[in-house]
Formats: sequence, structure tokens, C-alpha cells
Amino acid sequence: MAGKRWQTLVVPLIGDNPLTLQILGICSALAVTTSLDTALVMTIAVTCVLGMSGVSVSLLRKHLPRSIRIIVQITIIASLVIIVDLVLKAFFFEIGKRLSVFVGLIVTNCIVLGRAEGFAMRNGPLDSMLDGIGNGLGYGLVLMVVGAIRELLGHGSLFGMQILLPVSKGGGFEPLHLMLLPPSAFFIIACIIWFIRRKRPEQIEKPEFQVRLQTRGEQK
Amino acid sequence: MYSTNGILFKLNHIDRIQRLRLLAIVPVFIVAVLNTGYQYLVSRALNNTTGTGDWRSRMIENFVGEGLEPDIFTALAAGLVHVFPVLMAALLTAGIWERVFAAGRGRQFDSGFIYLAVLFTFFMHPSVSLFHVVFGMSFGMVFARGIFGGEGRSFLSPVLVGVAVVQISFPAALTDHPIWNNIAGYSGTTSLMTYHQEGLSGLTWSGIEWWDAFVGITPGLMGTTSVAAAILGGAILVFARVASLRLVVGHIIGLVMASIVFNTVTGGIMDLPWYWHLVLGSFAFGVIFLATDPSSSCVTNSGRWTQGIIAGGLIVLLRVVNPSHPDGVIPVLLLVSMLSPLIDHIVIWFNIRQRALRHGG
Repeated sequence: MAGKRWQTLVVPLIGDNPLTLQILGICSALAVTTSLDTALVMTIAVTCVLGMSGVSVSLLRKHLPRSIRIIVQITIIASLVIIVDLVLKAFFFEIGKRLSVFVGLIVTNCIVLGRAEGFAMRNGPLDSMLDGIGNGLGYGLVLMVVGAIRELLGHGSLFGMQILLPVSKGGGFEPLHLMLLPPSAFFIIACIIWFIRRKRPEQIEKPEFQVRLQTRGEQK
Repeated sequence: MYSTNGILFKLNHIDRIQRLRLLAIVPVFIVAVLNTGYQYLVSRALNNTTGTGDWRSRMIENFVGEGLEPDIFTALAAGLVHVFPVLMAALLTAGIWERVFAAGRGRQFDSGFIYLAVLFTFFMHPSVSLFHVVFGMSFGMVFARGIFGGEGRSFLSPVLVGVAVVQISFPAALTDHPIWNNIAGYSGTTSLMTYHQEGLSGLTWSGIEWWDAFVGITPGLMGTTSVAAAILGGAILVFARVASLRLVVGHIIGLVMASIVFNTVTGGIMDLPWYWHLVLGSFAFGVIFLATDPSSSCVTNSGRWTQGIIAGGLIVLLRVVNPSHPDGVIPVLLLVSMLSPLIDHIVIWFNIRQRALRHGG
């Protein structure tokens, strides 16, 4: 049984990653990854919300009428997000301000509702909590990688510490303005998905439409 | 037409298209080299900057000495020094990526990358840093060509994607160059920038007449200044049915209509008449060589007209209302190639409905 619980925790890291396999929560991943510290805080916030919402929804799962279950789940998630937002405002005000609206928008993050509806409604509280934490960490893992690439290439720094000296300050590094714009996260996430699926071909989906192959030899 | 014997019309497949494209780019190449060299000599004489440490200037001085008489051979040498390294960097980068994808995915090594690298070179400013060339070309080759399956399978032109990424990534890279002062960076051409700042009198003051802009003797990106050379190349492509005449004419109609509409509103940049819009910036070059790319444009005839008119109108709109993008050709062509499957879809849907109504289906 312990092995199974361990699996619940670690499989979402790469094998069933919410961002790279289920393609959920892309919106916030574009917004909060311009620097590593915001990505880290967002990871912690989402992991807490996911873990606690897993426990709460799982405990209530046998008392919830089917017709209003989504409303109750969202109410639980929203209350947890408000708590996280208040904690950030109380103890980490500066970084909370930089994350701005995106902490509040964890409510609409598809991963949270997806795990509540897809896992916590059918499993016990402990399993649900581990699943939530695992998914939060899987989401955070991608966030941290994207954040590191974007901050390093966009500012030349990591966690705000200057590592590569830009040309304007006499160094040899030219900052890529592209990396500070949200679309760059799309490209980086796409590359991460490409890399993972190359290592794990079982994640590749079957094409919906097969193009007939025609080699140049046929045409001649 | 295809029964005519000869190297250009006999081979009715991808090799023929690629040969024709390379032939069509030759006039542009000649004007690009000569004009770049000439503009370099003019800027250098104006700024009186001998020995500024620019590696291209040092190379030219090694070839032809310190004097730099403004004759055609010096212009040729200066032009080659500017065009050749960029072209080599682009060719090498594109070739390496083509090789990598051909080996990794078991595909035939396709020579279409040569044409792409040449086009990419023409969209660069003479003072471009080679790192930017390698970066932009790699991005275009990987994300707009390699991962979609190579030649003819990408839905956006790799050249446009590469140039757009360079424009976005290094917005202020060229603004304080010792020789080419007051240049518009990657996102616009210098003559349009002059117009934006000082109006038509500014263009006249810098000695740019309409015919200069038509022939291509204006400062700007390396290969996109000459409308005459682009028309010459375009004539080859259109005559050989590689490029669609409907697309080209559609772009011109859209541009003329939109500029006439804006001319009725007086004030600033909006006054620029349509015949100046046609010759300034990279409009002619972009439309003839990039917008007509068969794999990223519409395939129905009504779709081609629609795509052309939308793109021509949007280019004028972007030029007129957006001062940060004086040229506007690259973003518009990218947007419209993205829309082209949708336009085709609507055209086909409309056709099906018409036929169903006509035959009582």
C-alpha cells in the first residue's frame, strides 16, 4: 500500500504531469514565470491549495449531491485560495504584489478543479492529499524550469542575482527581450514537452489525421 | 506550358520550383549588394568615421585601402563585405538545422533552405550582428519548418518567423551604431522612419525621389529596398506559375484602397499617397517573395483575392497608426498566413452552399 501511495505522489511529476501531459494551467504558467522567485511562490501556493482541497473534497465526497458537486468544490477551492492570498499579503507582501491577480486566479486553474473532480471525489483523504501535492509539485517543476530559462536569458540573473553581465553594463551577454514576453513560455513549454515525449514515447498521442506519405522518388 | 523543353519548365516538381525561386532572387541580390555598398559609402562620408573599430569597415579598408573612392567597384566590395558574412551565417545555420532534422527524422535533405537563407539575409540591416542572424535563422528553421515536416509543410514562412523573432528579441539593438546613425533597427526601414519623423519634405531633404525608391537606392534593410528588382523576380515567378498573380494584385488593391481611405483623413503620416506606400519599406519584396509562398497562403482563387486585400489594407493600417512598427509588413504577413486556412474554409463552405441552393440539395 505504501508503494501505491508513493506512486500517487511521484507519477504526476513527469509521467502524468498536469502541464506537459494534460496541458492544464497553461495560462498561469505564462504569466508567473518571468522570474524564478514568482514561479517558486506560485508553486508553493498552488501545491498548498491542491493538497488542502484534495483532503476537503475527499472528506465531503459521500455527502455531496451530484447536481451541486462542482459548486461545492469551487467554494472550497475559493476559500482556500483566499487563505493563501491573505497569508501572502501578510508575510510576503512584495512578492504577493508582483504575482498580483494570479494568486486569486488559482481558483480558475484547471488543475485544481480537475484533481478535485477527477481524483478526490473517488479516493480517500490521504490519497487525495498526496495526489494534490504531487500535481502541485509537477506543475511547479515545469514552472521552475521555465522560470529559470526565462530569467536567465531575459535578465541574465537567477533569483535576482546577476549571473550573466549584460552588454549595457559592460558584459558580453545580450538579453533576449523575447523571453520577457508571455509567448516565450509557450515555446519553452513546447520544447519541454518535445523533450519529455522523446524520452518517453508512450506519452505521444495517436494523430487524429494521418497524412499520406509521399516520397520525392514517387513523383519523378 | 510544361511541355516546353528546358531547365525551367520541364521538371514539374519541387526541384523546378526551387530553381525558379533562386533565379528570381538574382536581380534582388545584385541590387542588394550594390545598394548596400553605396549606402555604406554615403553614410561613412557623412559621418566621417574612419577607424571606428567596426569589423566590416576594417575588412573594406583591407580590400580597397583607406581612400574609399565612391565608384562602382568600391561599392561592390563594400556591399559584398556586408552581404556575404550575413548570407554565409544564415546559410550555415539553416543548412545545419536541415541536416539535423533530415538525420533525426529519416527525411531527405532538402535544398529549399538556400532560398530561405537568402531571403532572411535580405531582411537584415547591413549592421546586423551575426549572432542575431544565427539566432533568428535557427528559430525559423526549427519552429517554423523542422518540427512541421520540412519543405511545403509549414503553415508559416520560416523566414517571416525568424525575422519577427529577431525584431522582437532585439528591439533597440542597432540604434546607436557609429556609421549607420538614425537607423530604424530591425522593425522598420529607414526611409519610412524618415517619413514618420519629418513627412514627405524629410524624404525630399534626404534626397529620396520616387524613382530612387522604385529602383532601390534608399537606405534600409539590405535587400528589400528595390521595387524594380522585386518586380523582375516576381515576373519570373508569376510567369512560371510558382507565385499567384491574384495574391500579388490583391495585395496592391488592398494597399491602394486603404491608403486612399486614410488620405481623406488629413494629418501626419496619413497623408502618404498610395504610390509612395507601394515603393517604401519592404512591401514589394515581402509580397512577391513571401506572401506568395504556396504552403502558407490560400489555395482557392477567391481566397487569394481576399487574403491579398486584407493583407494590403492591414499593412497600411499598421504603418499609419503604429509608430513603433514603421514598416508593418512582417507582422501582417504572419497574421494573414495564419488566417489563410480559415479564409479557404469559408470560401469552400460558401461554394458548397451556393451549389446546394442552385441544385436544390
